[in-house]
Amino acid sequence: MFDAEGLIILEDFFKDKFNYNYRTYEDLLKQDFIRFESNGATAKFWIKYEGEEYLYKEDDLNHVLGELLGQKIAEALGIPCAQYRACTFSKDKAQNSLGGGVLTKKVYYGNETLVLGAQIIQEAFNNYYNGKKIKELLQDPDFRLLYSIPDNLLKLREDILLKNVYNYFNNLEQLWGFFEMHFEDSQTSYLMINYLIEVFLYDIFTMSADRHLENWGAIKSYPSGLYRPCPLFDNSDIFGIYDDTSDRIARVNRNMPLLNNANSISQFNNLFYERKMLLCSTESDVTNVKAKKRKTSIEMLYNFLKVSDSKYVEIFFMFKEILERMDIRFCLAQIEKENGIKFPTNLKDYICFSFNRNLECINEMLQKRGIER
Amino acid sequence: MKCCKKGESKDNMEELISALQKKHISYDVALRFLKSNKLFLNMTVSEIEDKVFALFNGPFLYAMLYVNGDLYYWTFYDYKNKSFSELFDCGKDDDYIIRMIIGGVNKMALFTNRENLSLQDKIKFASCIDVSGYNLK
Repeated sequence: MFDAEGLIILEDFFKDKFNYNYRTYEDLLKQDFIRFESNGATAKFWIKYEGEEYLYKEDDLNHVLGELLGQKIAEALGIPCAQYRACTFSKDKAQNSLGGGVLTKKVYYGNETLVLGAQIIQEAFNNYYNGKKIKELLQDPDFRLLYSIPDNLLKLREDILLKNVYNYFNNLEQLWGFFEMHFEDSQTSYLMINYLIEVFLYDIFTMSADRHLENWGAIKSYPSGLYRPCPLFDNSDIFGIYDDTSDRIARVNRNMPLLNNANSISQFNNLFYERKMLLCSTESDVTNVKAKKRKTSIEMLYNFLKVSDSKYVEIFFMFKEILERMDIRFCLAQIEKENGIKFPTNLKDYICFSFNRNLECINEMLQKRGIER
Repeated sequence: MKCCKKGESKDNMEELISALQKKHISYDVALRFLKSNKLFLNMTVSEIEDKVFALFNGPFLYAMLYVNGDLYYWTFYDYKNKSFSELFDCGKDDDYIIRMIIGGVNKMALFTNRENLSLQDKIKFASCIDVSGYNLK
């Protein structure tokens, strides 16, 4: 399905491969080659084809570019990533140069299943503290200490706490603890934390802001019960690309003159890093639990480098070196060619600026803090 | 949460287990499930068929759901200890994975114009549901 270059047109694909003429969405869902997917805001269905499965997500052009570029950056860094291709549902949309969405190839095989980060955390509660519910566990100071759970989390109203408590179990220090509870052997825990550190660094370099507990996980094989880290997926929210991207591009452009004045650079950076990373390094990265405030990715990176083993610091410098050599504009041109799609010039310019500006900010922080390889 | 109607005869254990096996639950696990709570032991085969759902991640059982109208309760399966947890209540407790699959059922009902049905009925139409590999039987 992904072999030939060009935009994939699903209506034509269904006709060509399954002799099926699209009528309605409800009718499509009844077809044997389709499987409904209920997770996520944009996911629509899986297409079963030649022993593989492909997820169709209906998304805007900004997010399509986010996914495709996210994959290219992951590949450059040597991080396994789901494969994406731009697609559109019908020819009409193709004529308007709208992507319509993306297709993702399933990242695990028939004898495997995906265990989401959310389940790893939930099962730590379910299985290891049998009889105690989350709200009771949170009252226990020893439990809070074990998982670096901030005391001020308890200030939240109980119903908000229960619905949102999982948002706060998302820093590397805590997650190592959860991995040790979930996985039976320490080697798997170690493998998983190494994986998540690479994901964290990837998020730093791509300004990714959507690494919630359903956007990472482990793949479990059966009957062996062995785990492996899941390739990266759902990277569409990178470089501040989100729903109102055109507004963000306009604001960034409007505030660009601030960069010419040393006194106003921090003002620009507040705007540039307004969307915060979800996956954190340490407990202190969440500055105000109640207001869901977090440090910027640059501050999180500093915290990470301060507490990390030299091995991980070296991985960071290696990633930085690779990305500093990466020609982002060439990469965007390559994506356009492979996917038969043209992205707006202002979006591409914004991505190039953000990619390079983020690297500049990282280098400024390293210089200011005296951190060297 | 009364399950048996007054005067209704209880089905025997083997029939209940057999009804659970149709939901891809093994004999041993079905037996443990029924013994884990009086509520389940007192159920009839038709109640098991209509109100009890097994939540799997791939082939791995995550929890058993008991759904009555729009209310639902769940019990986790602990593979290590081969046991079920106490019964949790949607009105008082919360679970990320259960919340996610219920969200998926509601999303599917919305797409298939069944949003006015009770949760119990929505699940019956969502037997093919898949939420990132999590599925209901």
